[in-house]
Amino acid sequence: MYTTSNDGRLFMGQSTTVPLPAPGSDTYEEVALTGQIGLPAYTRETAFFNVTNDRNRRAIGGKLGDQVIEGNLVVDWEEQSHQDMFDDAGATAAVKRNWYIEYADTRRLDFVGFVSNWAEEPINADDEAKESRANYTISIDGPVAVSAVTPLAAKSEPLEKAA
Amino acid sequence: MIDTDLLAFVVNLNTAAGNRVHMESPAQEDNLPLVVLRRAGGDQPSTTTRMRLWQRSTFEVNVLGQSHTQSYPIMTQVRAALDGFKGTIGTTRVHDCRCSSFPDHITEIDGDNRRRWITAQFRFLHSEG
Repeated sequence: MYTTSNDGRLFMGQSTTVPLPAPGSDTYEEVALTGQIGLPAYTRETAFFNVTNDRNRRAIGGKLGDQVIEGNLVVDWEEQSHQDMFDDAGATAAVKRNWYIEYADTRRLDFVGFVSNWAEEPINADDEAKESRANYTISIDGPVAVSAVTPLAAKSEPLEKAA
Repeated sequence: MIDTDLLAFVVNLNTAAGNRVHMESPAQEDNLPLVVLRRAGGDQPSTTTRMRLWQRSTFEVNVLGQSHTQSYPIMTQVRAALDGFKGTIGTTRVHDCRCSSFPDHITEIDGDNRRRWITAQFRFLHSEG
């Protein structure tokens, strides 16, 4: 069954040791009040070239581009996870942690990353009052390990319903 | 619930409308002046874990009287109490309330019957409990 676009959870590892423990040995804290959890893009560097003896365009692919998790959350300074992300963002050097994202259907992405951006919305007297949010970016260092949901047989709706 | 709590709040202001404060529509036999509150939409965002956040609701406050001099003081009193209000009313925690549109007035004339109708909108950021 396919899943919805609005459910998911983000977890941050508690260890900041160098080297980091294996993901399975770390303890995790759920990042509270997430409003949006971006997912890493898989964009490969590409180059194109032509040869003189035919008209076909050729392409080659290089390494994957930068992968980041961008999102926002509703700030609650009583939440340790928000305090930790804020502290990481302002630290003198990048603080790497184990992170994982859990989809509603239990698919899971594990990665090592660091908070590279924490930007709170301004306090603005003119706007309508609402919950206060912060935008965050987690830069991924290394590969993303996917714990995939076991695929079932493909299911498709017919293009035309039977009469 | 904000609807009933707001109604009680406006009644407790002891305006010249007294307890002639209604949600949605007044009783036909009611004397003027009176206050009619009307919910004019709202929304409630949530997190990616489906936790519901604070609600945002808009209420319209209508003051009906026989003259502007009868209606305006009531609206002024309601606006002074609600605009910028933060606190608890009944079981509703109001995190912010502001008057989002200033009084707009309408005159209804039906034969010898004349009504002065003043309306203003208030936007609430609120939660239960």
